[in-house]
Amino acid sequence: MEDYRNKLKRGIIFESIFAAVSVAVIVLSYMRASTMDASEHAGSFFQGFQAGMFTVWAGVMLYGIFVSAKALRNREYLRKLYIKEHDERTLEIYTKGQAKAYRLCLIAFMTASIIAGYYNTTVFCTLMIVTAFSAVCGGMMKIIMSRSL
Amino acid sequence: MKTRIQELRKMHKLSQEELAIAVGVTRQTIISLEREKYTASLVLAYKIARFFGVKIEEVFDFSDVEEI
Repeated sequence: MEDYRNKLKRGIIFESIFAAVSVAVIVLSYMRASTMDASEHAGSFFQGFQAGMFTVWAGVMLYGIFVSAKALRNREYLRKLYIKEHDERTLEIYTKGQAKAYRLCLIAFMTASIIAGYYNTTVFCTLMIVTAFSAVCGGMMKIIMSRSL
Repeated sequence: MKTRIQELRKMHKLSQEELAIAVGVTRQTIISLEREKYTASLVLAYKIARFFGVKIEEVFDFSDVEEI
């Protein structure tokens, strides 16, 4: 339980850093958007999307900090959180679900890249690179896990 | 895998939540074990048997385990 307590403390530090970075990105995006003229706004979709993503990310980090801090103050809550995170059935569901989702995503990427090849070369190449990278990552993780277990 | 977890739990007048906390799992895991939808790991099986003060074979029924 002491290891878990230290893990939560380290988590609070990382989550604080990520939250601060997210807020900085949001502020910079807002400052950039406020200096745009009407003709540039049409192209500001991606900046708005990223600002929205970082807003959600900052919210998730703040929630994580709140939960970790509460667990560090309350021993009973710490125990419940530990059980929730280390429950073997939950971990098995996560592992099996992720494995199936990974295979499904690979098939979907490959199918999408084949279809995209008929319409746009850039999209085709991007999807092929993503598919290849995912497959290589999956293969490497299998080798690493085989050696460690 | 068939188990006597529900029977033993009721004998000791425990709720699923109390048993779950005692053996370090969530209530959903105890529910799945009692419904025989989930097979416990060796460590969890040992913890449950030790909690009830019985042998693992008295909690879990291994007669249906497939021989290869």
